[in-house]
Amino acid sequence: MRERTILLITLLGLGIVAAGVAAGVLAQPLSQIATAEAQSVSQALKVFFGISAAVFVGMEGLLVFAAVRGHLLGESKGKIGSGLEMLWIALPALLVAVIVIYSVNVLSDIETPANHPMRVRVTARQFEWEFFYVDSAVSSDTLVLPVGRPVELVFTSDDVIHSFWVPAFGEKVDAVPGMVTSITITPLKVGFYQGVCAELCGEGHTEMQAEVRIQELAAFTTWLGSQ
Amino acid sequence: MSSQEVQLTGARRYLRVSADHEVVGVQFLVAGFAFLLIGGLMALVIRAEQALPGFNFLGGEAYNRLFTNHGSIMIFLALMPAVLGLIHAVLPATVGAAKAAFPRLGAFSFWLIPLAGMLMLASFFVGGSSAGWTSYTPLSVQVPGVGQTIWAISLILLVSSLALSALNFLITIRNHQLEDRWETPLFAWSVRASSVIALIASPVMLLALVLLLAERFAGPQFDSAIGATVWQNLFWFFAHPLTLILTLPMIGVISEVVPSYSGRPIVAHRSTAIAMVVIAGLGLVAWGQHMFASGLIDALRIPFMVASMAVAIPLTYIVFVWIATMWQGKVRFETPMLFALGFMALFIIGGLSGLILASVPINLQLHSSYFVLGHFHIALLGGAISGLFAGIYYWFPRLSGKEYDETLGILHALGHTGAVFLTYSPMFILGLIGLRRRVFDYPAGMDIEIYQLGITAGALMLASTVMLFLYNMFFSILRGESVEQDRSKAGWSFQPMSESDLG
Repeated sequence: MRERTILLITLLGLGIVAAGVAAGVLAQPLSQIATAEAQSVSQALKVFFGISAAVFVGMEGLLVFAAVRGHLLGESKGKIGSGLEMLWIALPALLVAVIVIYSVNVLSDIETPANHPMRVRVTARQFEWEFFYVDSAVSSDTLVLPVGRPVELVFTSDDVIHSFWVPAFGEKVDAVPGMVTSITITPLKVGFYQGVCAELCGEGHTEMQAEVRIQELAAFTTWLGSQ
Repeated sequence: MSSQEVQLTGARRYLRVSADHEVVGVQFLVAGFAFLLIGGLMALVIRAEQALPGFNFLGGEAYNRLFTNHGSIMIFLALMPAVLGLIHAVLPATVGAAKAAFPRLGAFSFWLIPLAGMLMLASFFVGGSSAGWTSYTPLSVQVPGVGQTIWAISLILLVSSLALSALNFLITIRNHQLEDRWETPLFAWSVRASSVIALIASPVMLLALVLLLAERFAGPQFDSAIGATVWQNLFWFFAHPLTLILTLPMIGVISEVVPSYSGRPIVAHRSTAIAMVVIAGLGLVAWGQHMFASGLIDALRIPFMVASMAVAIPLTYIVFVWIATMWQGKVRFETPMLFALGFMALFIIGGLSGLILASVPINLQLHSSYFVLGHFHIALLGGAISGLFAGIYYWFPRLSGKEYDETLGILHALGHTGAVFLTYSPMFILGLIGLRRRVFDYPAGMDIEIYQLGITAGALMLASTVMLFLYNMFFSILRGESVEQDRSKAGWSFQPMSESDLG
């Protein structure tokens, strides 16, 4: 078997695997997208999985090729110069630099402060969520949000650490006793979503969930008035 | 004492206190695998609970206890003792020492393990610890009963065992320092780098555990301006490096195995050693990556992200060194080498998923999800455990004087690599779908039963490969062929073992 044949078979096999995985994930990394922030995160995931798929094929391909070639053909005549060795440091360093800069950009994108957001104070306690609409002094166990308007969610906890996660929102934040944390989101898509507690908080952790609804502004105003 | 001990043969010498580093090493390894079976059984019960939505035979409290003990046992009583055991057994010989620097300290560090193990198992039956292996405060303070307290005491013993072992390793290497220290075998370099960070990180974990106990007995101790996240800082300052403390020595093992089975020295000995030191150093300053969603000070997130991602540079460098070594050699596919290849193949996946998780905006979405479970299981089982198996097979003939069954070994290597991939890669998809970790049930509408089934099938396959391994080891020791005197199966840095000197 010639070197070229081994290389071809290796890359073909890995390429098929990576293409399958990448196609599945790249099509839609998040199963639901409800906010502008989730859109950014979904885009970032596509970039990360795209890079990962390329690195995966490159590294695994090199690995399988070197092992099979070394097994079948024995010592290679190729010499390893210091230039090649520098490449082993430069390539991952370049990759890390690129994804650090990209991550900082995405982060500032999803954390851009909004003008006049609607404020909702969220209190976590074993094992429930309470949503308090600051402007209208309304309290609810369901999080209902109007589409299109930025919302600042401000979190505290009455007992242990909890974490508020609506997968369709594209981010989560811990509710820590004695501390105030917050996220700002812009709902984009009307629908029903599931909010959960993502930090182990005790016996009822699994059941600590909240119904999340994004509605048109008119429907939201009606709902708020009826509370 | 010594003359009597030398005369003891067979299994009996392993059942008593011995200062022989090989006996200590084997004791650590056997204890580690005993707890691996217990932790593995717990994992299978977890798999049963996860099989179908709405199928709940455990409920919240029992499930919390189960995964808390699964995690604590697997990390501190299975993986850690097994890794320490391999190092105890072979480190002196690889640096040309007749015995460990502190033989009795070696024995002491081992006997802490069964004691701590008994406590951990006992805690499971007397109220139980149920705050996860990470045991975040204030939940871990609030958990009623003595179980959580016993858990903390058990961990104090285990972390002490790690620190004492690390001290022993460091002095053993130092006592046999070569004139050019970079010439020291790479396995010893990896142990040195790992031991230094173990000695720096362990006291912080001991402090955290003492504070936790104080808080359980005497009320709030973490009640400061940063309050509930003090534990997280102390815990991750130890637990983030811990993954490297356990993985680095196995990177050292692979750095011995690859050249041995490529029939040539490693292509860049000195810079590989430097890379190991860099990995250890970066491991010490990356703990904040576990706290991006926990109200960590905003300005600290980027430095922690950079430190976490930067570790990919020396790790990738070492993988390239291994690949180049194979490239320039004649590769033999025998059991240790197949485990080394499996290590690399899986570690690339573990590393890439680690890079994804270290990105702050992506971490805010995937933190605490099944994606994290996939990442660290594939990194620890594909990395540390594959390396551990590579090392055990590699040095087995030297340690036992017997040959293992090569066919079963090859089956184990292929089965292990395949099973780890099958078990943990579906977890990445579950995390993306939005499944959080540490829950005993999930909504039927998520449509994830097929992935759960894949994980369960992988777990059963993994369990059977462990059985295959134990069978191979057990029967090879009992009935295996004796190793020929002139056989040079061991690696480049390996010097002939002398008779254990007990001093």
